[in-house]
Amino acid sequence: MPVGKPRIEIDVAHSYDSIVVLDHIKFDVYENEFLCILGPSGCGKTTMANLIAGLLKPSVGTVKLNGEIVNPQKHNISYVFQARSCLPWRTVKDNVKIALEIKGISGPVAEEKIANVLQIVGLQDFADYYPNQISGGMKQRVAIARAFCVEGDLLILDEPFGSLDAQTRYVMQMEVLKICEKMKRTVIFITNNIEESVFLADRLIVLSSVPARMIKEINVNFSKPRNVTHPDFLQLRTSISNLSEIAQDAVGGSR
Amino acid sequence: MANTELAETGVVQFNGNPEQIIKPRRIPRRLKIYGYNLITLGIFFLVWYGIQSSTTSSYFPTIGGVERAAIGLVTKGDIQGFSLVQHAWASSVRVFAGFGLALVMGVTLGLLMGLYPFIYENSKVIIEPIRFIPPIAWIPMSMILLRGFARYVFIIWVGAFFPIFISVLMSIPRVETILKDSVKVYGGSRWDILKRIVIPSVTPEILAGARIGLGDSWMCIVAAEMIGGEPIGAGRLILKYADLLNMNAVVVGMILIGIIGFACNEVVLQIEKRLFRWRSQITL
Repeated sequence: MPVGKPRIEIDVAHSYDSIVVLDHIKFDVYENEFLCILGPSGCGKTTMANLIAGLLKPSVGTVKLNGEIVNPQKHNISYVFQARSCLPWRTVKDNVKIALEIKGISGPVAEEKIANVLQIVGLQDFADYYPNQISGGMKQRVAIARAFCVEGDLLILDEPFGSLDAQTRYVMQMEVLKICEKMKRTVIFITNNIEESVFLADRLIVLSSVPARMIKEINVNFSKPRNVTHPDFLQLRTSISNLSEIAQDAVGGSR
Repeated sequence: MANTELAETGVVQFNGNPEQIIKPRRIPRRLKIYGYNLITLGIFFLVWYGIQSSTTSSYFPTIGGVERAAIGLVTKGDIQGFSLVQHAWASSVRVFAGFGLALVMGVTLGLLMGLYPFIYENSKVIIEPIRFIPPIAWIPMSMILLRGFARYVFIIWVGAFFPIFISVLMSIPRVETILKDSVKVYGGSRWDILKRIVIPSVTPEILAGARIGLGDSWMCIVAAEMIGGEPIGAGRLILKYADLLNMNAVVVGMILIGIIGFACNEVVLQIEKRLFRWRSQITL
């Protein structure tokens, strides 16, 4: 069970013009917690990520970080976007560096941080390559490296591994867990993959299809790293996929 | 190689000489292109020769006549003593003055109106119609309003400004939101977004616009020199010999403009290639 003061307080509803995307969504995230938001594709998860990051203003309600309305200029937020966010005119290394440039970190300190995160995501040999010279999965790892090199109040990952192959995906999931363990990060991890969410989360919030509502909140108390073939793991996984709304989505075949 | 071996080691070994698979091309692509272009040029001269032998007009420029006119213009100069090099230089200076001004203004105004679309939206009623007035239509006005060098610069500016301005203006909304967001989320200011995302994103479009603008500048040179009043310049050369009905010399002037324009274009293309190495399509 999460304890202590909430670090992030989310209490929002959002609509684009007349289309309601997020029905009333209200939850808190606690210090050093790994929270997964699980929802079917197209349910407004990215909208939610943008609201939490302060890139988008909610139609109703607020997102508070450390008691203040979230503001990227004030808070240190790291965000791994779902779509490719590599700048094509910068090399891998300089793509990672941009986050530090904006935060005003430069010189040997920055160089060391960059070398470190590139090592973690396995791109140390590709530092001087341009994005169009590397594969799609590698580009996503560049975005992850960029997010990890900023020490922040909050790390948001929006379906970060969607474009990775199964093997790399597993390696990256383990890396994310390790890094979060080591660096003590508060993480919001958004995914449409049930297994991934059960594998990673301390706590899990399940959303319905659009307009998104919270349909279940689950505390996952197994110790990490988790064994994906353990009966308890499989049982939890099955119980989530049996939630009526998720099952409906699978039958509806939106993927 | 036996299948069992593959199953056991999981590694496929290739024992041959790698050069056997990737055969180097015998003739480099570039040389081939030069070769084919030479053939195209040969066909062009053949067609020209065909027309000149079948036409009855005594004014029609002949290959030999153009060659003689060119040699004469280079060695002895024209009827007023100006050599071909002097003409080329004079026109180049005018083109680059007009084009330079168009480039600076086109990029500045394009960026400004792209970033603040309401300026463009609310002045569209003037900007858009002006855009469709051809440079030649401005000749009478510039004769009344301007003197000397300003006349050349103005006419060329009219031709070059809009392609540059429009390409910069239109490229700004196409800058990807996710790239801007990836700077914003780390606390980047508007200035950070402009400097680190917008300008690098639109630089290729600026250069492409510049290349088109430069081409259009050369297309305006004859119109500009019609009213410049000075007896020198590639366009003036054409006009001078047109009055004398000497088509051979007129064609020399035409070829001169064509070649300089072509060279300018190639230079900008090379710059683009160097500057935008990150755009080249090499994928793993």
